[in-house]
Amino acid sequence: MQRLDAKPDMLNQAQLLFVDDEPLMLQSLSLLFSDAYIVHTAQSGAQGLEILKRHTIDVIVSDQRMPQMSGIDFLRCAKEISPNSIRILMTGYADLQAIVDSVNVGEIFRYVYKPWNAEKLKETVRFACMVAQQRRAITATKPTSTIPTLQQAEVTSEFELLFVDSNPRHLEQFKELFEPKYKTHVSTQASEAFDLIPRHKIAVVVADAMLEGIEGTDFLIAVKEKYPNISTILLTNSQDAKQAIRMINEGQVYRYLVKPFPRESLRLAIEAAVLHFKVASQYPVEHTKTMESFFKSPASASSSIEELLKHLRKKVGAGMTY
Amino acid sequence: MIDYKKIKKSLKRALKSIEQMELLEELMKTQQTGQWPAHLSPRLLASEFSIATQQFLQQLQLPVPSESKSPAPPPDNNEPPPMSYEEWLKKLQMRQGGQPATPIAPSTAPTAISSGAGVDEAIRQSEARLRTIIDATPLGICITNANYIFEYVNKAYADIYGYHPSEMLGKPFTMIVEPEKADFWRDLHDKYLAGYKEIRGEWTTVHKSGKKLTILADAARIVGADGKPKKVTFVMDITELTRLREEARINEIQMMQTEKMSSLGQMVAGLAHEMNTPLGFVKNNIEMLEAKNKEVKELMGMYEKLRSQIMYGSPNDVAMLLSQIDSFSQKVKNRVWQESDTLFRSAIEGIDRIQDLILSLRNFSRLDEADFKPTDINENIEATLKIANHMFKGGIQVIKEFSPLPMVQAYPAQMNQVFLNLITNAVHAVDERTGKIIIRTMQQGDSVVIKVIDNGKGIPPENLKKIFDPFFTTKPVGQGTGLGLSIAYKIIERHGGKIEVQSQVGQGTEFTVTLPISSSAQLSAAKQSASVPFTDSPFIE
Repeated sequence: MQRLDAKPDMLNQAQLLFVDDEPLMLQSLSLLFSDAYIVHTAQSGAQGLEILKRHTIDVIVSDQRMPQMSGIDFLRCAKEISPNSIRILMTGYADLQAIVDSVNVGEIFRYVYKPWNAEKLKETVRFACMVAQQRRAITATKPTSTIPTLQQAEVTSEFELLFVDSNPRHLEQFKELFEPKYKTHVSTQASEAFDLIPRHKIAVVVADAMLEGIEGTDFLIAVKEKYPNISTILLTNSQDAKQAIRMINEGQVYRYLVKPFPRESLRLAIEAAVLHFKVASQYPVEHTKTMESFFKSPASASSSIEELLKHLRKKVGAGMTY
Repeated sequence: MIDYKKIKKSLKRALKSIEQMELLEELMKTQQTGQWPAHLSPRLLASEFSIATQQFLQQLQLPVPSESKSPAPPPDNNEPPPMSYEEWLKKLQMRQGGQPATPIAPSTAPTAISSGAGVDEAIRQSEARLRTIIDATPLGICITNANYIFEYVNKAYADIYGYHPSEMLGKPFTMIVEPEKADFWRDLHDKYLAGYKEIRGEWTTVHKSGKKLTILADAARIVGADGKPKKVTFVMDITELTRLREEARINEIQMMQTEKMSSLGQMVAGLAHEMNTPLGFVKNNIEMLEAKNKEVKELMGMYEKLRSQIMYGSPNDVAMLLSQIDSFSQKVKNRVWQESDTLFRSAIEGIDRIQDLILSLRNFSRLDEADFKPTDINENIEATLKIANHMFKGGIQVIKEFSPLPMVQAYPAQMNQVFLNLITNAVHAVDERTGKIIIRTMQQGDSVVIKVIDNGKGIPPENLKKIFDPFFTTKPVGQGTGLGLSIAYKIIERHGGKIEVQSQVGQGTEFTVTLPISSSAQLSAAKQSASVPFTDSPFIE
């Protein structure tokens, strides 16, 4: 596994917040990180939010199942109080609804299982800290107000969408829903879609989980690998928690929509994704995946989706994922 | 599952129509002092039978002028000689277009119907009416003699087996049984006529096409005019009914399986989290202590080296090594080292917690115990509460009010399923923070009573009567099978107990389970009804 070349002095400053209702868990986690970080712990979401108000936290690691306030609810509030903090969700059990919410509501960076692999967790936290500190450095030089929020942003038709679905009828419906506001490209073939991206100004790629010859998950992960700024949305009707976690941890999927969903959900997701793309293009650090590809070995220069996937599979085989 | 209540109801209805049939026979006897047996009282049944009996009733209620005109035979000397049973039979068959039955013995009764055309007409009419009724009924009726020969079959009987009546009359009845069982059937027939066998029940017979039929049969012994005993058999084809019943039984098993899997799924989710949390810190603590152990070993090695340096090395070397040791031991004595005792302690506590969970899971599932056994209900509820513990995390208060209970004959695993279901429902009904669930057990006479009381949102009256119905749920799609309570109901019913509910919207709900302390009798009965009845012939012997 490739090590990140982090400046030690930078990381020495880093502050972590662990939230778990189990005190023994907090004790254990804080000792794991106490050598290199300033560690804060909270036994509930409410306590965690108090700490966020008083300290500059780089990385938040929260348990999902907690009484009173769930991990996702806590992370959603945390995002408002401390938008620059990187959010990691930890759980003993992958409940699909929680995973989907963690993407769509908590916009989390990673999803970590209990019990965890200590080395990988350390690596993830270290990397997340760097992203957080970079992000903070940039927002410090630019007033936050210049980063458009969803309400302020004027989404113009300069952004284009790409839908990939093996069912042409679905594609027609998508086109109908978003044109003329956005120029909408459609394709039933993943490889065709992949070649289409560099030729247009694609902001958002939406793919169905079931594509011909390739998993929608793989396709979106490949897209993200090659074009880190693009926001990706996965449409799926499967109840597969594993797939969802892979989409978060490897694909940094922006939204995960479980079919059937109301049209409005897709519309809102697209609007937010376009904005996300816009911000990511202007301020690359706003986009964690962008940072990740910056720090890690660049995705091979290979341009075809097949080669890219081969590269990704090698990564998976090397145990670089959860 | 057989609906015994329904069957009983239609049985009563059938009996009523049979009584009417008997009345008709009485009428016939007044006109012809034949030997139609008075003890002929077919009792036969299946749920569809009610339809047939309705038809009977309708037919019987038709105005019958000849009978009302002459309820009793005319007293004068014009009275016709009584028609024998055999003659009646012959007439019936002839009108049916069938072959006359082979008489077993020469008729001893006079055959002349010489005088009284009006009476003859009355007889003819009444016979015709009886025949219409007998032919209109979907009930198959046949008469067999001591030589196993069909002396009479009605249309329905022939239809059931795919024959024309003429194809059956005069033939041995073994044509409709499995050939390899012909001897068994002849033996049964003999014994029945001799008066010491029962026929009533479900049997397997064979259609003309070779297809196996399941029939419901009842029989009556009659004495023919020849003075010989004969057997009247009433048959109903229940092949389709049996298939449906079997299907329903399989559906029920699948339903129970679905519910079990669904509640198991929820349980696994909760338990996985309950176990993975201690597993997380136990593993982490041990990994940290392992790394620390390596450092301490390294430090020990450095001390060994120091020892030899002191013996053989220069003071400079010693000083250098010492400072190395000092700086390394500074590194070793970090917080993990300082708190190593606590880390060990926590790891052991975590393992204890996992062990406890596994134990309660085993207690809950009771996989390692015999199915039906004396069961301590309090203990079962305790085990179930442990499994359900993760649901109370938000601050739901659980109050146990257990009284000492005698052992109850039960399936512990099934009981646990009921308790888990009631507790889960209570948890879902109450507020996460202010919820209160009381679980009370007590002995009342020869019953054990278990109450699960919550202060939740309650059940509206319109839903209250539906809560035990399968698939009734107020939860959103995918969040409940709607089977939990219906299965709980079945389980308790199977134990010979009952489950009741009282609820007040906004106040809470109270479930009461009453279990007989010794339910073995009911249970074995219930056990029989749960399995397929009559796979062979339980009514013999």
